[in-house]
Amino acid sequence: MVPESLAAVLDAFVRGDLAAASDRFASGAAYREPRKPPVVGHAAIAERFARFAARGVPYRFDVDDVLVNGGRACVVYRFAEPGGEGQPWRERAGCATVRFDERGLIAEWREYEG
Amino acid sequence: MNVNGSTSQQGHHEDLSIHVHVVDEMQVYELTGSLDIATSPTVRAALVAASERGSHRLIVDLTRVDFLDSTGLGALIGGQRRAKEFAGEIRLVAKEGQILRLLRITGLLKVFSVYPTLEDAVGDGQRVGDL
Repeated sequence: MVPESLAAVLDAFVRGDLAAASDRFASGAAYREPRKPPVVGHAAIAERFARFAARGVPYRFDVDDVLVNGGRACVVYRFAEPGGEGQPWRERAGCATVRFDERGLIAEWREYEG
Repeated sequence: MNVNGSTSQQGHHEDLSIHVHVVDEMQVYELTGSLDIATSPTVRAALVAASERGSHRLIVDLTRVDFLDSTGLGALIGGQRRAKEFAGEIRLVAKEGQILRLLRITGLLKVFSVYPTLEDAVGDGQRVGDL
């Protein structure tokens, strides 16, 4: 069964409600994206998400699979952004491993793409 | 280790082949080539077919895989999710090198049981550490 915090984050990502997504990260959580320095702490993650949302660029986030194993989970997803005028959307596949804290909040989100 | 049953080629793509054989009553999916965006649908289909046949305890041997991307990881993760739904599991075989480094980096050593050799995977022997 998918932990409630992860289900909420995935639902928020799909809906584009990044503020709601950041609420499910623990105070000391780490958000790790490929080729970028980690974002550490709830406030920093919320700020990162808010900056992303402020761009006003639409995106699609589709979840293909979620595997839960103890205090960890793996999310298999596709992320897409507009490709520019007249161009098709650019989609990239990825997977994220997720670790939870003792309260069930997300302690680490680590993405891998490529 | 008792290798029994016939070896069959269950899937083939220009860049990937899948040989399936049975060792001590466990189905072994031996992959050779690249597991990437072009070939991962073939692997996903093979693992789905295994699940539909009621095979939920599988070994995927990655020893001969030379490239693994996020879509390939997705195929393995999906297979593991289906197996776990039936109280089964997918065990992975990976030797030291690029593939094992990727499994470490992504944290997947905590999600899959990974063994250095097929013999270890069949016998649930020594696992690859997460160091």
